[in-house]
Amino acid sequence: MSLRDELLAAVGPVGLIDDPGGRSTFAYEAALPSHTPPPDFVVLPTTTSQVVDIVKVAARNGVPIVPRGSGTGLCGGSLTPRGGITISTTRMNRILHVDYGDRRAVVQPGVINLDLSETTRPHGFFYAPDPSSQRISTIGGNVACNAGGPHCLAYGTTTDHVVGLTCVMPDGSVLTVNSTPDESGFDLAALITGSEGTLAIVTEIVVRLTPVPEAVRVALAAFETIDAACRSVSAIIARGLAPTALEMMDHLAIVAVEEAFHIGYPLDCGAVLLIEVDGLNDGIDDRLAAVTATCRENGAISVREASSQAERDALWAGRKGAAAAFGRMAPNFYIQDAVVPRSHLPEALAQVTQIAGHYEVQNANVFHAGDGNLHPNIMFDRRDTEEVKRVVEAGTAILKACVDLGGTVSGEHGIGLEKRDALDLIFSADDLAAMAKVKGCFNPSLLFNPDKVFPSNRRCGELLELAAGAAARATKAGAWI
Amino acid sequence: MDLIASMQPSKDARPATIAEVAQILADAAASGLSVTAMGGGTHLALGRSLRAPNIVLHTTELRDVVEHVPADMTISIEAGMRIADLRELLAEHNSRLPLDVEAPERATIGGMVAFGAAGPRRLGLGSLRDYLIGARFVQPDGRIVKTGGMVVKNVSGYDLTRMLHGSVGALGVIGSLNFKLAPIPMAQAVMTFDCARPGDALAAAASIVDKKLPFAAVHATSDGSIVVGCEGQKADVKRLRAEARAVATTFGASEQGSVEGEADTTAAWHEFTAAPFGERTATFRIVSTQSKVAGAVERAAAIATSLQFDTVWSADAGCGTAELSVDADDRVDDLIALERELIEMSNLRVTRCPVAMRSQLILHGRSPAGVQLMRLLKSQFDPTGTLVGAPFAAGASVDG
Repeated sequence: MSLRDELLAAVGPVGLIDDPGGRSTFAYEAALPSHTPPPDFVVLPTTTSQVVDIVKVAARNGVPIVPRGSGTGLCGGSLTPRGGITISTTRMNRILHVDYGDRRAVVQPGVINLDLSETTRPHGFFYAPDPSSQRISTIGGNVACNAGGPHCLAYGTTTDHVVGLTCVMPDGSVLTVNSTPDESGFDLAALITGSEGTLAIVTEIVVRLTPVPEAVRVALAAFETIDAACRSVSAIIARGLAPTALEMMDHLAIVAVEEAFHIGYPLDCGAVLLIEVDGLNDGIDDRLAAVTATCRENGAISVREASSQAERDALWAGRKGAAAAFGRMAPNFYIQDAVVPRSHLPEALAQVTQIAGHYEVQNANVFHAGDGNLHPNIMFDRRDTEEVKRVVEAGTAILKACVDLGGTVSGEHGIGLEKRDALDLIFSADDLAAMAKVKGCFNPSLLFNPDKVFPSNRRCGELLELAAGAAARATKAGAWI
Repeated sequence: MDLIASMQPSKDARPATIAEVAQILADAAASGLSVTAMGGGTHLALGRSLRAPNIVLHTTELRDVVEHVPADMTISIEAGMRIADLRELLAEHNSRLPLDVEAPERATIGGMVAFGAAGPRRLGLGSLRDYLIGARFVQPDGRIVKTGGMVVKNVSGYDLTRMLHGSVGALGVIGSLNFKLAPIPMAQAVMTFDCARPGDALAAAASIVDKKLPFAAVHATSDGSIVVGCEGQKADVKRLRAEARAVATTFGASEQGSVEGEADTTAAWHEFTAAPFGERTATFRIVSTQSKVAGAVERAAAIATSLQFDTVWSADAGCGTAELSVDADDRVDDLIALERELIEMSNLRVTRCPVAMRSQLILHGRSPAGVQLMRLLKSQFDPTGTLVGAPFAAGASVDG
């Protein structure tokens, strides 16, 4: 039986894509800088047991497997540099069970993030992690990348909302894990969340649902300079005011959003800060007043409080639609995802501006200021190879600058292909070796999403092989009891 | 020393730096000696030792602040810092962590993370797992590993930081931990209501949770009390108190009193976590769900009572967990029987038991899902078996 026939037996003709046109779609994701060869096969299972069958077929044939949600990843994590099999979770899109009394839902990985909140909101609950891609990105993809979003400032990232996972392991076995502190043992759920499909293929997710807050207030503060806006952010955090979201957009981003959506953001300013607070009706006005007063003390030239749900939605639509708006400014843009300690935001933004100037690239900043999570968006034209080179160099320089300020290379997008060599900026060989040990235990054949997360240099490749070999030997020897 | 009872270690080590921890571990691994790390010794019940460690590595001299940036609401501290000291340090800057634990003057932050503690305010404040942003731990071969960092959001590589939470020191010795911090709210209160029957308290607590309001904690206890935590702006706390009172009244409960302010509410929660029978206490932490916890704790209490144990319990209605404590006295056979019956009934672990009895209990409850993988991780991180630890993986250790 050929590999194709075996896959066909697992998922049926509706679940298999192997024509060149169909496959080529899977050679791209939202990431820069380049695409990779397409997968040899794309399979679209609907159940855990179909995934088991696919994994067994792949293991028998020594073919790599790459899981993929909606392809909205921004670091190449779902691309297939070695070809092989892409498992698309598109048809695993059922909300299997919602238990409002227990505040949890069981979903398949292909469920669209926003769909879960829309389903549960009439019952007074929502799913808190809200990446800006939430209208299209999947919860499985969010788990793979440990996705964040504007509201994770208050509610935490995906890992804080994952209660349990069902996964298919590289040998085709099914593993169900729960997170601590409710389970004795090592927190395998924490390891799998954010592992970008390199440890296990997640086929069911138990997530925590959060009660919808009684009251929400949104305000937009405008500042003459991005530096003043950053100082406001630092002051808000230092005072412990704990807003739900604290998002910043610089002048170029504001212009892009206004030209696209005509929301009414002020154009005569250097930066705006989108502020959200939530809580009980009783204390909400005090909360907002404390935050807006801090903005004014730090040089806000205007503060506009949304007076209706429609106005709140419009202010957020500008922020969440920024990426789409950039499409009007240049054929392509490259989004970075570095994080700095929040008190270093003014310096970090100044360096980003300086780097963009040095490499002669146009950059717009739209980011999760409250978390110190920068998102410089560098505009470019993919057809201009010389410009692409400068864009990549500018991106690397930004990462280095942020690491020098005590930061890290990815806050919520992941490492994937694109940033794997950047891990060397923050981790020693011993640090990476510890991660390689984890990979060796879960994925000793190294067939799950190869070439991702770990640096591409020879040393790291050897490390992975060593760890995988040791783990395989330990299994054969009956392991440690 | 009596705290580690039957282990009878040949040596106590008290390293003052992470580098010294590394040296001790490297030397031990090279000489084939076993090591157990220990903080304040408040949760020793968690570790069941199949063999005595040659060295008990006390982390309590590791108590420096590595980095504290109040403006960033982040801190990095060494593992042996005492909870009471940490709380005081954070409060000076109007910040806090979920640190409700018994004996805070002894318990250490490293021990709490290794133990995977979740305090009574988990509903509103979360557990330490939610605040961890980075760590340094020492592998049994002496190599020091850095995980995460000092930023509040980080997906750079695998999340080895959270892997340490609940790992009972089996994968490495925690040297330092980095946390993001929460602000101390403007107002806080702990209210207590008395019901006629424990069943009424359970039902009332569930109804308070059903309001879907941001309570910090909602517990029912075996003496028929409802204990409610309210935190936020002054106006929020006033509202939450009124809401809790309204529900409690419909269950015939009377308000017994309340405490307010950071110092008094903290003290109240510490008191709430205290062992009811002193050193004779055995506590089972039962993991259920919000809708099933009332039934689970009542069944567990019935089993304990049928074995003639003096029994007290509290159910966390907001999180779906419960703690059932019995006066174990010297009734080891009965305690073994109780544990067996409770494990059959529910997912649980033992969080306290008289030290002399622990070697005869299972302690970690049912085998966790993925135990084979956990054993593999243990064998990769500790191929020499230097760190005696991880009850679920059939070793033992640690700590508190």
